[in-house]
Amino acid sequence: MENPQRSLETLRQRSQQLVHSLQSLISALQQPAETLPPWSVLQNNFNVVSSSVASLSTALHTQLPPLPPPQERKTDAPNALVSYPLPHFPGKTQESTLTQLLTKRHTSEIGDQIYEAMCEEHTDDPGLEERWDNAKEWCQEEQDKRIWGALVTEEEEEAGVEVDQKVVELLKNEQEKENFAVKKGERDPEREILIGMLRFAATGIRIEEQRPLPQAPMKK
Amino acid sequence: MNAPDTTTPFFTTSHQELSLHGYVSSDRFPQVIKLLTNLFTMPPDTFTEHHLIHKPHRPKNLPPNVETYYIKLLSRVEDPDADGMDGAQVYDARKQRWAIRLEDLPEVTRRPCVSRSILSANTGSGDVMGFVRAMGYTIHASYFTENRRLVHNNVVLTLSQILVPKTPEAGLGNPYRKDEELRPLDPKNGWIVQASVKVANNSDLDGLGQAVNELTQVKDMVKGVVDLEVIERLALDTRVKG
Repeated sequence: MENPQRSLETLRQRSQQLVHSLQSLISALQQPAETLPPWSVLQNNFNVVSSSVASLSTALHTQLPPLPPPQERKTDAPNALVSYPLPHFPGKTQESTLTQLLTKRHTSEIGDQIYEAMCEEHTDDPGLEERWDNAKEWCQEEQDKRIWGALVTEEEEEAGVEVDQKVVELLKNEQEKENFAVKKGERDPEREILIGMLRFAATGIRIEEQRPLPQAPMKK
Repeated sequence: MNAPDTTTPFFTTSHQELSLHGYVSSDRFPQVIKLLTNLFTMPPDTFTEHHLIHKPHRPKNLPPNVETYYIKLLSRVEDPDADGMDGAQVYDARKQRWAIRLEDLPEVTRRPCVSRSILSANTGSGDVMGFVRAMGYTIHASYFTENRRLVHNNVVLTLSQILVPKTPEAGLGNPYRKDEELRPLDPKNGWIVQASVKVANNSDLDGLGQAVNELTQVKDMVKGVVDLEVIERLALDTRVKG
């Protein structure tokens, strides 16, 4: 996407237009029966709504092209829209809006709808078990066909695609960091004893009986 | 901020404690004490304390999100060679002057230290152990601490060793018969170091800021002698689990 901000802005404007036109149509229709506007006015409103929908649809199509079928996909076209704040986003002041925008948690209405859908009775489908088993087999086959953990697929290698050196470096650094963290733990038995004793002092639970503490994520 | 009290057996009442921790192995201990004595220009205070950890009885109808905490009874063990003690041999825990203390889980903070609320009450006369038992607490652990304490401005540096009863027959332990009844908790015989500042009020931002500065000062002062660091807050978690 060339300029995500501009594209999102246009999408937002189109959506706003659509909402606006829908609202005017609804308000026109909700007049008491005697004062209903003439059909030409309602027709106009409907046309406006229709054109708003059309413009929104074209905007979406240009910004987010529909996926070609998987075999034809040659380049890494974006198949998901991920939003993230730029570094100069005023995180400190707008933290609540930020969490609202980026949260993956469902709102309660969505949660209720999902719950209702799940509660609905399943119709007895005798072929379902079999289908699941077939799907499992097929997935296993596909999985076995591929080597996992390498940086290029066989096809890509044959096509002569070179591994991006930067990616290799990055992965090597991460592995080194992990090794260092393990070594640090081994080199610091004094710290382990200190923590064990402090936990005993706090709770009276002997060191042998203490449950391991949850690991904090690595600080950047 | 309160100056450390060395005369009466009273403990500081409720306050916010900011602290850093470190460890000194037993072979380095004599050298470390000598160096610290020079750095702090004072000989260390030596004293023994008795800690009784109590566990609350969990009522049946407790709502699921409520936490219960271990509390401790804390008392200063009188020096057996002090006036009026005549080299005492017998130790009766019930006759001690106990303070009831709850050390809260350290708060999540950006400050370069552990910050936790200490709720503490000194007691007058009466059977404190019986009182706490009547509140539904039972003795969960008993340990003694051998302490060496040094002071610099508002920072108190304490080196301590935890001693636990050797056998179940020793009961709560007798600090006057250390060699027979108690053994160090640390198999390597090391010492825990704590540098702490007590702030009367957790909303006193200036006081807290000053406390952090003084702690950092002491940390730099003892660099090379003792490594003081911010211990993970869950290591000082007094909540009852399970």
